[in-house]
Amino acid sequence: MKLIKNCIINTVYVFSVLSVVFGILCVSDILESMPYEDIVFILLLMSAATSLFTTIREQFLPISSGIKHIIDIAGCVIIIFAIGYSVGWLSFNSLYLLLITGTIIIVYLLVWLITWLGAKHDEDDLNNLLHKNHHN
Amino acid sequence: MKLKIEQSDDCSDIEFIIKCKTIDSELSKLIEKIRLYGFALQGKKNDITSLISPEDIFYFESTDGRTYIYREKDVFECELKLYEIEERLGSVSFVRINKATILNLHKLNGFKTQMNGKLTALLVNGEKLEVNRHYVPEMKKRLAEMGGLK
Repeated sequence: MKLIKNCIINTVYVFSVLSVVFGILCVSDILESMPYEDIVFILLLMSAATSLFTTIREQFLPISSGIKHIIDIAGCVIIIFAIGYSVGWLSFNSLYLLLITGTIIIVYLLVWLITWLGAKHDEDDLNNLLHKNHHN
Repeated sequence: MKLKIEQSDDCSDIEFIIKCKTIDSELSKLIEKIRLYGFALQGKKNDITSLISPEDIFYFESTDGRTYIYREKDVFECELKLYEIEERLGSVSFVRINKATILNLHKLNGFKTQMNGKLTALLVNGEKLEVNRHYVPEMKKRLAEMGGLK
């Protein structure tokens, strides 16, 4: 239930940010050829994808330090770029996107591994102390 | 160690006198246990107030500004705030494990790390409580100290 709630909150939050982006894009020439319904759909897709990313990150890597913002922002930018690229809003070498995505995934996995190892170390220490208490 | 017990009809209240050269950690724990003797918390359930012995309490939890006492199978509402409970019982086997929970270390069965890196405390009644790693150093200290309590 908490997961769904967070997901909805994130979607609304990201959508409001993307609406500003949409407003800026509307005054440019890029979006003139595309129907507004399609634009809104793409923005919604971007919102849902980015909020899903941050929700999953929070679920599997619930870190409280500032590094989570770096992971979140980097991940969201990559997702927006990937969707923008796939719908033709952006054009760049897909290899760059792949490289940056790979870097983000590696950073994500490293942070997860460090967090998990730290917790595992605490688990072992606490269980040892508890075990000693049981024997006493 | 000498143990002297005097039983008499003239005694109106229980009196403990400890004569010692120094108070070591073991004696300090014993004094804490004695201090808890007869201590009980008031818990409310279905408009009935009961006295609950700390030894029966598994953990305290604060939700929406209210404090609850969790025993093995039942839950009571407590009038005390979590910090007040921590002040009264913090010197014995009760320790804070996250912002909203104070756990009785005697009801602990073990610890388990989740895949998301969170630490979980496993209680003897099968319940699982999330442990914030911020409180782990204090838990380690308390578990190390209470070696002879169990």
